Amino acid sequence: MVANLADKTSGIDYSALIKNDRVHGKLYYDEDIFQEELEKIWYKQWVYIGHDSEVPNVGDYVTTFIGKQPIIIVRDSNQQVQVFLNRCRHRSNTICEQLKGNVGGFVCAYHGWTYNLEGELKALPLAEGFGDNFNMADFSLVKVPRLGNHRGFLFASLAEQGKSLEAHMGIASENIDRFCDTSPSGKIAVSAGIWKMKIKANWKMWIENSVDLYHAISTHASNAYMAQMMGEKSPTLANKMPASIGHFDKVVLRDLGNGHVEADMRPLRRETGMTYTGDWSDGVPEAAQNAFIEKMEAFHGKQKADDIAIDGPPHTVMFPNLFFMLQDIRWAVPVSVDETWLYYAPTMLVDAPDEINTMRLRRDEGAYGPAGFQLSDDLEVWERNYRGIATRKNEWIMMGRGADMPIITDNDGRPTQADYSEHSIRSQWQHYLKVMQGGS
Amino acid sequence: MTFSADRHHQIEQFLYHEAFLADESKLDDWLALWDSNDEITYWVPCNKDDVDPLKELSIIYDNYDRLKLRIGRTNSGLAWTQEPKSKLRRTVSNVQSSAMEDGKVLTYSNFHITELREKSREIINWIGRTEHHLITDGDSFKIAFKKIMLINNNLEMSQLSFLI
Repeated sequence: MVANLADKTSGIDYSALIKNDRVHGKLYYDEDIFQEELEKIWYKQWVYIGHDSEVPNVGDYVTTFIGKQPIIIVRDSNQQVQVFLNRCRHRSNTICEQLKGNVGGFVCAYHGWTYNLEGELKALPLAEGFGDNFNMADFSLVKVPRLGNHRGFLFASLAEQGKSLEAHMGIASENIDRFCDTSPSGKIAVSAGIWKMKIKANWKMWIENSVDLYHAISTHASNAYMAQMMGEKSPTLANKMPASIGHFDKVVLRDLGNGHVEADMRPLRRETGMTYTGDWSDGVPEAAQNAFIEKMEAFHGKQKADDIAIDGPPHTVMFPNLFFMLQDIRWAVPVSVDETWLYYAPTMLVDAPDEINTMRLRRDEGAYGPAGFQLSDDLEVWERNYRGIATRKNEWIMMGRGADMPIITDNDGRPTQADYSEHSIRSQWQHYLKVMQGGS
Repeated sequence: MTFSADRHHQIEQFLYHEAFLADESKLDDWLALWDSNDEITYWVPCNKDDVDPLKELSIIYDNYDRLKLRIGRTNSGLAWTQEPKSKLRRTVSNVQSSAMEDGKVLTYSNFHITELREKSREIINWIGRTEHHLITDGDSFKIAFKKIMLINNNLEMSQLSFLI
């Protein structure tokens, strides 16, 4: 009856906690709800786990987590990416303790059970003592039941069955494509390193904020101050600061379905000419800039290359834990109801001139990571967000901006609103409600 | 080449003075310790101690302009991470000094910074090793290069919002 236990619900009435324009604080601090999220979201739905460029060669591996469960992502001898639960089939020890590396196989420290890169048990001391019926083939490492790869982005589901990755992504898969197409090879790589951060806040505060345009005005108020500082040195430098109030009202918030939400910057960029990388050309030799444009046109064709230059990458959160913004991909691991681990990686454009990729690094270091000017503001407001939620009066979290405005259906049939609407966050919660009520 | 005891003492005193100004959040004075040209580097590598900054990510990789911006922002009252300001005390020790070929002074030292955040009532420990390149400036020095190698630069860390 183990299966039934896994399906057991807490009996919480989620529809009473999630209204159109508000959700109850309990959803962020309640331990039972967090446990139920593990079962219904993290251990059942498609979850982003990593990018295949993190393990380029045979034997390369990284260790990470799906929810609280430790996993190993490894490139096997046939160049295939495998994802194993990080657990010896004998007595449950984790078999890989390094964050990343290259190995020929995995050896459990406890009793020496040894697995190859395909996860097959190949050797164990004193095997004869396990009896005649013991068959090593029955003790391979456990693979995640379902593994999907869309242009290098690895998604895993711990459920044996469920909707396909394609169905889960839906139209959001086009956003992944748009992200990769900013590269002159159509390929990006997570090869330059990863910022690793932790916040004392519930994971949902992170996905909300990531498609919240309204917060930029206050949370990132120091942008205006820095623009002024830069302006004293050079007016053109000041123009390179991220846009604050006065621009983002044109950004269209699109509910892409299945909890995925895009803050579509294209209307803003097409109208204002705002470039998606700020002035990435700053400090990049002209020859490298020209080489980049030539490669983009050769790979994508002139028209598409021009469109990409204007439209830029998507700003999209794929439920529950993958976020594309500018040059970065970001993802989250929920550690507990009140702690979340965050990973931000500036991506490298494969086959782009080195100077372009170096500039991407320098630009991102100013804004993001644990000491970045933008992200440290966010890290702080997430923790304040969580500290405030301890109060037990008027517990509703308001997200009603735009709730009485019309919802516009776009050409793709997706419901949208602009003008700093919290439609983006409401869309996430409506999907959450469906999933927590047993849907997918 | 290593230095005489007196010279080494002078170098140590400079590092302690730098640490004191940072602890006291006297950031304009702290900035004045730096050589004010575009060649300076204030650097916290990410994921490992030795990264190639042309190809790999850092937590901080500031030139002078960006360092100035960092300090301006921290002092602006709008950097919410530092409202209220962290209380800081750092210990600098195990100082090794030697001369570089270009005449600068190379030092390695260990640090242990205790950060107290009043707003969350947390104490955070920041531990690591620092490499300084110092330019002799009369009786004192100017900092040309500072690389901070955190022992936890490859693990999930809390916000780093003070001048380390």
